[in-house]
Amino acid sequence: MCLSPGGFGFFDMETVREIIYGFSVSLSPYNLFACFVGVLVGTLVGVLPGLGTVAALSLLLPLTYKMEALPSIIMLAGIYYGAQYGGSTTSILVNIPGESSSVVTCLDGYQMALQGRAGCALGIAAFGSFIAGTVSVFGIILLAPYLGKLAVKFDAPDYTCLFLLGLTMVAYLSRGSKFKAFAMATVGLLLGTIGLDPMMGSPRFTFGTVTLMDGLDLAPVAMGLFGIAEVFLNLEKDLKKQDVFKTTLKGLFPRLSDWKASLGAIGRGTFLGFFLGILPGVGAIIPTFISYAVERKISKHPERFGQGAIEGVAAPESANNAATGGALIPLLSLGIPPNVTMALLMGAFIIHGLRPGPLLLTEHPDVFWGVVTSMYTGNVMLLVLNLPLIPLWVRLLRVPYPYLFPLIILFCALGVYSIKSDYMDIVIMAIFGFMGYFMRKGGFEPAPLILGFVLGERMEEAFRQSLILARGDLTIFFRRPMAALFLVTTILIILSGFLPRRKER
Amino acid sequence: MPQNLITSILLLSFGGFMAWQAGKLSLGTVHMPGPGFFPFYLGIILVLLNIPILFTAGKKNTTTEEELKPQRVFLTLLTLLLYAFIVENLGYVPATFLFVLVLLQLATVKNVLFILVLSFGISLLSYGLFKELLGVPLPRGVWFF
Repeated sequence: MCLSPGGFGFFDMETVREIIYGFSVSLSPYNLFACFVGVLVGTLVGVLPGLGTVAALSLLLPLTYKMEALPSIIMLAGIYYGAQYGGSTTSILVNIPGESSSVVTCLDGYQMALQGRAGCALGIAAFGSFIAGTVSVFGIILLAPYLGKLAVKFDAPDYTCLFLLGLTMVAYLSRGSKFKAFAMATVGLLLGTIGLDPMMGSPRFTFGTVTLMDGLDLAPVAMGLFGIAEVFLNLEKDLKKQDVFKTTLKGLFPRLSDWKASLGAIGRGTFLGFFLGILPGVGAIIPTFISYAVERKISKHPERFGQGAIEGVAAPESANNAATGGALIPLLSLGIPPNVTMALLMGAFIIHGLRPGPLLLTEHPDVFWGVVTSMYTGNVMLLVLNLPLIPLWVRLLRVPYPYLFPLIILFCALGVYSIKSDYMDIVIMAIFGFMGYFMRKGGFEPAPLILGFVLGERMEEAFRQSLILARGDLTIFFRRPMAALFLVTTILIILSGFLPRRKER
Repeated sequence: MPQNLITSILLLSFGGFMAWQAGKLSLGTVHMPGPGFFPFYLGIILVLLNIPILFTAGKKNTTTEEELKPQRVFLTLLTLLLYAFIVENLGYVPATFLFVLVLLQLATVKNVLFILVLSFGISLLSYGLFKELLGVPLPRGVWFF
């Protein structure tokens, strides 16, 4: 680690002052407690295979309505990166990924557990995650304000094209057919138009109902598409008991030889994860696969991979944690959520009257610096908490799914109901749950849908403003340099996506 | 009929429906787009995107035929919808008790006494947690709860 907290060589005095200010905010007892709850719930969610971050975030989103803005966002962010710590535990001990971003960890982590080195695998996953988390916090501090300053100059046409680019990347990078992914993004945009017209205030697609006047809420839609749909997909399969690996967890602190083997992997995983994580649509899963492949490629003994190589745990676990940090950058500086979880976090900002984007840093420096510094504190807490709590998580994993799923559905229902005390929101969630289940079986991924839904209103506004600004001249999107850059990139991505492929992956 | 064909037809109809509905709103012009402008063209795009999906749908059988139990999904969906409609009239605790009871039954938990105790415990505990601790307003219904 070359970045010390007082790294004057890297930051100017003002940034250091801002960081100290940030810590003074995030270390206040209330915010610290919010952070603690966030990372604890996050780890729990990460450990439990049936419950993803998206479901957990949408579950707790309504509960933050009565809280202040800053602790709410600190808590929700804590769930997000905390889940990455927890996901590895299940991968290593049960050979089932607790989070989708811990799939790769199963390969070598479980093998290590079989060889009696579960403690070591869990330890290196935790330390790797901590290092990656720390580095990504400093990455945010360096990059987000800079990008934010750049984005202040953006106008409606630039935003239109930027939203389009973000959506295109998310659709392009999702699994399966590109047509299906773009169709999903379009459905999301369409669903976003339900409710009052953002510019003229006339109702659209409400069909005379009061429930639809304010449009669809993010929470029931997201909870349905991800939380409930996930439960449905699990229910359909045989509800088998999971075999939790029985082992004595000794030696959680990796030995010197383990450190030597994995330090390089942690570094590369962190670097890859962070920079890939910034890009819209990449998320935390793709970097884990890439970093695993990189490690195997450069290893002198590639045959050890899959047989319990410690680098095979260290690299992806660092990558997914670094990616979660990287993903915050476009949200905080451009107001663009690069993945579904960030879309929900953006929902939390908006609910609390904050608009993430270039102005956040100047208008609400307490929120920006408070959230970013809380992530460092949260990582420290996770490192301290995670390892001693593993025996508890193991016991939780033995709770069979038939007992777990009614609770998940119940909490989802409670979560949406608490927003407006309207039972119709539970109905909407149920409908979207079934939709999500059905779509996923047909190979339609819900992620582009939710991003389209979140960006829809702002994209429409920006688009219509651009047209009014240019008096109907569509070339405005090519005449402004930033807009043109985004648009050309978008077109290139779309073209490459529809080129004939040798083989569908 | 393969699942992705059905989904595609549904999406196509959704796009067409939204475009039709948006057409009834004022579309405006390119100079001054109205409320219907954006959704109208999105609907058209959705219809167009679904044409290639329709043509490729059903070509490959992607579903791995391990024994699936979709009826469990339908029953759970039905239970959830029923729960939504009764929770305000019946009150949170009784409705949740029934809800959890049915779901546990669905998931082939055998021990009846255990199910009863568990459902009762979950409904009471969650009431305490959400209503008393977190201050979420939960419906009381006809009884005290």
